Amino acid sequence: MDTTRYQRQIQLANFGIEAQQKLSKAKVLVVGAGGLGCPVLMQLTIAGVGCIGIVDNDEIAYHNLHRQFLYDESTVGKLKTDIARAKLKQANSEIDIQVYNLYLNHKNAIDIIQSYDLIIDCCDNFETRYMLNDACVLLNKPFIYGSIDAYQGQVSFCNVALQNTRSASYRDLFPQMPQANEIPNCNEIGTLGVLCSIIGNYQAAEAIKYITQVGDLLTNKLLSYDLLTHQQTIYTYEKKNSRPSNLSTREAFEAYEYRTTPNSSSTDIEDHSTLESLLQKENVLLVDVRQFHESPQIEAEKYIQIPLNELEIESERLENIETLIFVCQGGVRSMQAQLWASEKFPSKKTYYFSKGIDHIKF
Amino acid sequence: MKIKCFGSLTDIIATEIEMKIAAKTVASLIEFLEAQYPLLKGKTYSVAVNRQIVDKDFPIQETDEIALLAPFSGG
Repeated sequence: MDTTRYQRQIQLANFGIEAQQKLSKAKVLVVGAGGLGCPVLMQLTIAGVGCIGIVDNDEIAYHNLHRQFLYDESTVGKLKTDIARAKLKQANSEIDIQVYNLYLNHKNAIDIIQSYDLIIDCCDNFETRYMLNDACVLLNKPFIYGSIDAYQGQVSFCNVALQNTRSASYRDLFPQMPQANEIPNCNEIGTLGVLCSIIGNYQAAEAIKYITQVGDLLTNKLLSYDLLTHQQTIYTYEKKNSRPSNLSTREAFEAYEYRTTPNSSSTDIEDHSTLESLLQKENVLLVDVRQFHESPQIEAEKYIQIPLNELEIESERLENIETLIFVCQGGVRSMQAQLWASEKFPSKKTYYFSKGIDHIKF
Repeated sequence: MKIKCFGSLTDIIATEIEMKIAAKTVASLIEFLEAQYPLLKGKTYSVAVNRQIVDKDFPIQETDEIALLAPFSGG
């Protein structure tokens, strides 16, 4: 190990060569090489973490480039893991980078996870997150959760070994997996690269602190961060062993069904021609439930905008309409609005256009 | 009572609300909020009272700071 490279962190009080050696011996698995994965991977690489595993199966898309800084225009269409590995090797050739070109699932997770000391969750969906948490509980691996939602982020350090026990897991924080389409992701509500970097850097900081045993960790704590105000709050939570009791063996874990099936029904309009024919009917209204500041701004016949959180107080405006079609940016809020309307107005025909406002030709 | 909302819950309620609520427990607070904001029904979230995530039977007072925390998906 070339210590000159790490001199400025080695000289920190309470760090020293011992901490650097702990980093060089550590094996960390990063699940997801996207918005959070990029800052986590780069920080761990340049800090000198000896072995880093990267799990991802996505190809680089043009709309990734504003936040996923390991990639550039020349790499669009290539595998994220391959490009990330090459970029990280350029930054620090001493680091052993292992890549897994696959999506982690309950069948392959245990074999991949078990050779690592620490797992970092940079994934973008709940199936993977809950599965990863359960695998880490099963294998006694510490697990750093991080995620973002529009301008906000969350970080927590789960399942850390304490005296005679382990700290709370992600399921102690959120016991039940949300329904499919309940929580919007970056594709639905958008995201900023700087927020991904802030939250990813918090995750990387927790990893470095854990490995070097410096400072206090976010165990049994949820850090909540709001980019718009820079307001940051730490919420505490307790270990309750919230994991389903039938997940206590490898066999049970591998047989467990994590996938939440999307609510597809006749209320979901999936193509534009169906939407057009519905809009040609009498007494029909397209109800846009996005907030007023969102673009594109629309002016059209048979169109009205009522943000999702105002539907209840504005419901009189919908009372005399026979057919309601809800739309939003990506299908999550419009589905919620349709569910609301089907309860509020059982006699009306209610639909939602799941593809979102950008797919409507006005 | 001051209630902060996070993530997707801000679309259903708001970032922050302050209102007089006679609820004595987290469960009765949820019942009140679901009546005011029907879209809250069936949503996944945890409730914190004075920055501590608690169960539904946890007692609350008018001066408490409440937070409704939705899990985030994006990465």
